Amino acid sequence: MSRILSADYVQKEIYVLKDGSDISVTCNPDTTSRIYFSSGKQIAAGCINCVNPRCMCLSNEDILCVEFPGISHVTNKRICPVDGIKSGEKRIEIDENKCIGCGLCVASCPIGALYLKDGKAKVSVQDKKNMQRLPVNDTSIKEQNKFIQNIAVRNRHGILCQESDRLMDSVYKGIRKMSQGEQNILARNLLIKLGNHGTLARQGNVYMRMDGFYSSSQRLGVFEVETGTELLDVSRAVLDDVAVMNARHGINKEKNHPLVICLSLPNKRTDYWQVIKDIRNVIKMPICTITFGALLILMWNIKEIKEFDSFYMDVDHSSIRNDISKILGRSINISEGFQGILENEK
Amino acid sequence: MIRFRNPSSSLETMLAGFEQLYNELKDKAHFDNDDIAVALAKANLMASSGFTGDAGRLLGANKNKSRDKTYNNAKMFAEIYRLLGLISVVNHVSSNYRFTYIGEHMVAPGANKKAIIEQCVLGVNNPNQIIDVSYKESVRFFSCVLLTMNRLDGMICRDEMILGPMNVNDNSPAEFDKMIQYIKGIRGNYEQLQGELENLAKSLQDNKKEGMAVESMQNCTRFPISVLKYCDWAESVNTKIYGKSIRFMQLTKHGYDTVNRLKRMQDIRLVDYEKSTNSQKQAMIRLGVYQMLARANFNLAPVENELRKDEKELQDILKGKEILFSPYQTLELSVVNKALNIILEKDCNGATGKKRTHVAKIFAKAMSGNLQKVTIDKAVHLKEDFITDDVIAFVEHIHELYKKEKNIQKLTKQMVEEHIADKKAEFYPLVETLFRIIGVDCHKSRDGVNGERWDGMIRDPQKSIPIEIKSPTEELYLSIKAIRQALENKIILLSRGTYKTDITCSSYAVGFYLPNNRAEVSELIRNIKDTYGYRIAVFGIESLIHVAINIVLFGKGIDTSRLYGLEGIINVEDIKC
Repeated sequence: MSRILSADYVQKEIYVLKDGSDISVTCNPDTTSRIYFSSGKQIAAGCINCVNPRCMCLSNEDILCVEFPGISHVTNKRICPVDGIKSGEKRIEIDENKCIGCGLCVASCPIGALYLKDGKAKVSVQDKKNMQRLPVNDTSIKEQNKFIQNIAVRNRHGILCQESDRLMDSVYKGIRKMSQGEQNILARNLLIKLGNHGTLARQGNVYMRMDGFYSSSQRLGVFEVETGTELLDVSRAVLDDVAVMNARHGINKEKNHPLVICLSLPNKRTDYWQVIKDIRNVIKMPICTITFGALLILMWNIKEIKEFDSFYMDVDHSSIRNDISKILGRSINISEGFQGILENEK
Repeated sequence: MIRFRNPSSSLETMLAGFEQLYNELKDKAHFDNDDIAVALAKANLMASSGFTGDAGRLLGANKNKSRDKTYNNAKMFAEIYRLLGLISVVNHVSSNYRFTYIGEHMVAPGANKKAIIEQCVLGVNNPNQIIDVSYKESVRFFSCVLLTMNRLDGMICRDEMILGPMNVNDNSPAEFDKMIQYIKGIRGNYEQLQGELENLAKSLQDNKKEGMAVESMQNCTRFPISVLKYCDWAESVNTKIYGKSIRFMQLTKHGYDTVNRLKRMQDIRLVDYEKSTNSQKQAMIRLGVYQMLARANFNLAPVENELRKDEKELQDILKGKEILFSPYQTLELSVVNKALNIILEKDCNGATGKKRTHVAKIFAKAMSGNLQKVTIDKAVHLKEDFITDDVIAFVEHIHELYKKEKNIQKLTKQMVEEHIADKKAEFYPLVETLFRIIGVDCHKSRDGVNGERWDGMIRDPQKSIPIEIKSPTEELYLSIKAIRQALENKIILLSRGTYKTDITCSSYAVGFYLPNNRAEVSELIRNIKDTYGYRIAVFGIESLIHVAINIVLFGKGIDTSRLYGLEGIINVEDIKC
């Protein structure tokens, strides 16, 4: 009788931490993170080579927006938008040719085993004396999964990297080379890493033209991603999205907090900002605009952003520098107007 | 080097404002830039921060005149009108203007505005008595450009225009020939072209500073290039004359016709005028003005006798040729008006007082008669207020086709097919014309007015309707995109209040064919109504042409009040006559 065969595991070595899962992690730019145990002991973080690695794959919960039931969405859960990370025999492996240095994988590892250096993600090697090696079998995999689940994911401190024009320039070059689908994945994952649930709408559904939707304990809304110069099309798309959500899915427009995620804020001379104000004036719906760069800065600084109301901009005010600075509690090391990340280039 | 500062992205926009300006200010003895700003705001030509109308004017205002967008915008319009000889300064005060006799003909009933502008463009010449400029070239610029293109295989590129016609004294045949040889010598060598351009830039002065940026020189060609296109003298083509693909202007048939006509004309400049006798000067002015009008399709019968005398007076100078002389662009207003026997009465309040000779009055009347004839004969079912030259042309076309095809369905299809390759420039005016025939005050938007995001507007005192138009070359079948834009138009109109409307009134999307994906579009229109309460109505051009034909041929109009509340995809049956 024929039966379904299971594939061999890629991993030849998997681990858990010897001193248990009650830990906190302090991330550092350019170097390995530190793991602190409740006992007071601290060690350098190292990859435990998860069989179900969080740095590669989102959880079902991450992409579940319960407020948007029955809406067709993509089931793709990959973390790395450019598919630059994979499991290895002994540890996670990064393809540096693909890696754009966004840090999504770094932010996703529950024990801080990845870090950003020179605009690339790096994997910290295990210090085996602090780890317990497990045989690669079903029982051990369950044990490793349980270990990971027990780690409180958000007990992180420090920063993943220090923002700069040079670093942002490098990441933006990578984003510009991405396909629209990859850019949408990046946008969704950034929202998730900032503490939201995020889902991408399924493409090809003629009645569902939006890029995605997000929800958190405080807000929910549709989001549109635009990395070109057609920002005016985006405000129109948002109006369409909100109408479809209201009429077909019962999410009324007062509840919907739409978000536009763009690469650069449109310059002052475009009509985008005035149109955003017109929409707010007439239909009382603020459309918030935020850049990839701003989302990255927030994620690199391990912040939670569950509502984007403070990022509302229009013709009267089109800068988010102060808002983000306030969240970080410090000034931002990005030059004024640089790439239109925090304010217009012009 | 001749400098045309970049006044506007569209000459058409500038000229659209002229009629409004005339209607508002014609009774004033003179007017200034502030008066122009108010008049242009009324015509929604004054845009600031996305607002038009008075809101735009007030937003742009600033106590510091150099930063006052409104004032500077008005000044920019005035400069172009002056350059074209449509207005001129009074009593040597640079910002006190009055309409010229040529300017008044721009708003005469039935006037072919484009033909008048073509003459005014040919009239631009330097030096003159009315506009102080920093450059010294003696040139009738646009004539020079056309004649240069003719000598250079019918083509010129932007940088050649700078090195050639913008830097030549074209009243010296030797210098003109030298310039042609100079350009011919550069052709084919891109590095040399750039080098010559840089050398020229270094040798010039800009705002009293030594040297001028190459980009600033290139900016000075924007106006002339837009004029060449506006007058249909030239069109853009890409060629590899310099090894790499560069945009050139290429003479059209009309361009070549104009060149041939120019060759048969006697070009009179200020220097020629000044050395003439008094009676010759008077004759030059009259002949110059009236022949400009004749070339712009005005009927000169009322002044024929006078002109014959003037021709005789100038026979030694003109040698049987037609005169090329634009008095209002060369001489002071009072001098020209005196020769034309136009007497202007002024009162101390700057209010009206214009008394014309009987010649001018008869002249204007002769023109309005032509328009009335067409209207009465063939457009009896149309609302008179909405009749334009385009409407008249369309009505005549329907009658023409109807002589051969009596089946209305087939006639409609035939007319639809005529427009399948229309670009924006043809399709938007068609939509405007059709709605005007249907009986509403439709206006297509002008290029370059950022505040007006819609492509057309049915203006109404209470229920204006914005129109999103998609020409068949943009998209053959209307799509979701147009519906989204129609929704945005509605929101912007409600927010900015450019024209009065209310939420119950529709917003239109007009395209060539109705959407392919009708279920999807209809669903979105319903979703928009449910969510925002706005009505979107979608038209294919066939419905509108069908209605227009029925109105023109049979007077089967529709109840236009129904137009304001339409929603969904509109078929011929929905607006059946």
